[in-house]
Amino acid sequence: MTVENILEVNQLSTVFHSDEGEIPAVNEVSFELKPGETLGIVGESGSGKSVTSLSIMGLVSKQNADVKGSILYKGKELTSLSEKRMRAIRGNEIAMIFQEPMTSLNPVYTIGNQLVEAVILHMSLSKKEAEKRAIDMLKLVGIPRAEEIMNEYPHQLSGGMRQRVMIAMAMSCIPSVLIADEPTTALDVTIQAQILDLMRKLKDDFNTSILLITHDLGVVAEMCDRVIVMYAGKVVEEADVRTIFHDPKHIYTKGLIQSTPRLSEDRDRLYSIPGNVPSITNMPKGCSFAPRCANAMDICYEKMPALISIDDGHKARCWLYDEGIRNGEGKNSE
Amino acid sequence: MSQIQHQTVINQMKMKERVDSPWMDMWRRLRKQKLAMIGGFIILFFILLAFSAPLLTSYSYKAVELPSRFLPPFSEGHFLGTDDLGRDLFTRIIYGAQISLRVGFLAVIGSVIIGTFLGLLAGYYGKWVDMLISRIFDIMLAFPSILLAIAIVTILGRSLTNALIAIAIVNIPTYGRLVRSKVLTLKEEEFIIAAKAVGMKDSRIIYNHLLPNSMTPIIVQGTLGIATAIIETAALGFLGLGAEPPIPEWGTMLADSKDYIQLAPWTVIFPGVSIMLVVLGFNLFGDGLRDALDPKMKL
Repeated sequence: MTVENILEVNQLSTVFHSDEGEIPAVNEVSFELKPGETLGIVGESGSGKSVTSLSIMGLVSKQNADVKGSILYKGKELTSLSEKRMRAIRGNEIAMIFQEPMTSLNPVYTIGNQLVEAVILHMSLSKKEAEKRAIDMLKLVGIPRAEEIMNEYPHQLSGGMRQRVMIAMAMSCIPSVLIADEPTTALDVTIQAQILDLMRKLKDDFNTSILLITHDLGVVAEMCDRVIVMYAGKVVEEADVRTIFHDPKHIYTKGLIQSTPRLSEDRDRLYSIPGNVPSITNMPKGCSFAPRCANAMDICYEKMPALISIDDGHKARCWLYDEGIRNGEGKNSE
Repeated sequence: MSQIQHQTVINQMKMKERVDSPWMDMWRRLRKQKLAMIGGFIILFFILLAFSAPLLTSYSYKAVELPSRFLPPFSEGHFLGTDDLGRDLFTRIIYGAQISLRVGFLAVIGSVIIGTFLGLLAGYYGKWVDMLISRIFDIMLAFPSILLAIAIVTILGRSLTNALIAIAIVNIPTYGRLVRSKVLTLKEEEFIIAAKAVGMKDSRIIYNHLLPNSMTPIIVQGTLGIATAIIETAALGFLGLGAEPPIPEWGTMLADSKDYIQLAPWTVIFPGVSIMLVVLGFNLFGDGLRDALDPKMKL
């Protein structure tokens, strides 16, 4: 039996136009999301994770950027939808939560105001019913004294509480896909765990698929079924979560995992990947990771490798796994 | 003892907990500003004078009484004296307050509404909309405002209403630019992106989310703007382009009495002092508002 994908992203490229030229923030990214699945997108700052999510939501300004490729939501092509049809999908079917709970609520309105506004937008409910639904949602995300919170302003709540409110707002219309853009980055560790638990619980309750964008491998290990690793706008590795941690193939993924502290190990110094992400306006020729890669070969500086299938569902963008290369040339002597 | 202290601290925290709406918050901080409160009292004083004008005087502001012309202040029946036509100065001052305040408020409301609307459009949509609106503002601001106002009144014809319209038009760019720059920073805020992510329409985002968040600078600038509008009304009146006699507009009164400045200085002093006081009041109050609404001052 094949499980139909709820979201299919094919060859998505987002290019920003700027005075310094074209900026390819996202470059031919493809992935799919199954119902009830949690897919993690991991990468450093500037690897194009957030732009990918904004592109899916259709929130990248069309004046400044070109979005190419296809985004299929339940078989519907999102990139060609009119702005009006897209609005009906945003928030209702694909919802999003953001990194900064401190600034993603409007400071001049009460929590209740904003929740009710979001609920009424997509559900044909009366004000009373919408208020009731808002209170129910607040209780569902574990906010004590929900009725009182309805009349409070965002600045009166803590970061964790605000993120709960954001989740309540995102889940209020029971979306099929929830895009979470670094939902726990701005929170402290104990709250992080609570928020992740909450998201997992809601996912199970509503059978929502989650696209979790993060740079925190701990969060990935805890939450995700599958993972894609992004580097400089491209997918460099894709695998299920077990494989990523136990058998990473791409040197970059290996580096990422090595640079995460572990309790079980006793190391003096944490590993770090040498160098920086190359500037996106000035990409090196060939593999964009080559300048930082210990195993770089001559061909790495010449040509960008394709996403090579290694196992079932495990792909890596590295010349090391190319049949021809494996049998032929050795390492770059330099 | 410490138990009691503890209890008070807890009570205070509870008081703090019950934070009121942003408006109450603003009022609380405004009350601490002494100068602002003085300004507020001056404004209130003139508003009361203006509203109760018919109760405070039995004279008409246009009743000419030539035998009693140029009576000095504190004369019998004429608290502030009379002018060159024997009209009671106090009566004319308080009716003048009515006119100045009304013109000030209406002109500012007019320019705020139009300026805010254009500023929201320019800031939110950017590109050619912004280009067009901002260049129009630039052109308007290239003229000294009083000259532009004179030009508009000359075209429309001399009257108090036309002076009001001219002042409103001249001040549109001030508010437009203010709102535009505020919107430019606001629209990058996450809550605006979040509003889009929830599926809100542009019009709803502009009206429900951008506008309320741009209110603070508009209120401050608007309050200071009333002072400017009152001065401009008086200036147009003084130049003979504002209110037509016998309307007791303060600027017109100054112009009418300037020939008698040595003979009857009070006919010049009282309208002049009135203008100064009202303008001072609005400026003090506006400055206080600015401080009270400054987000950096949030406790």
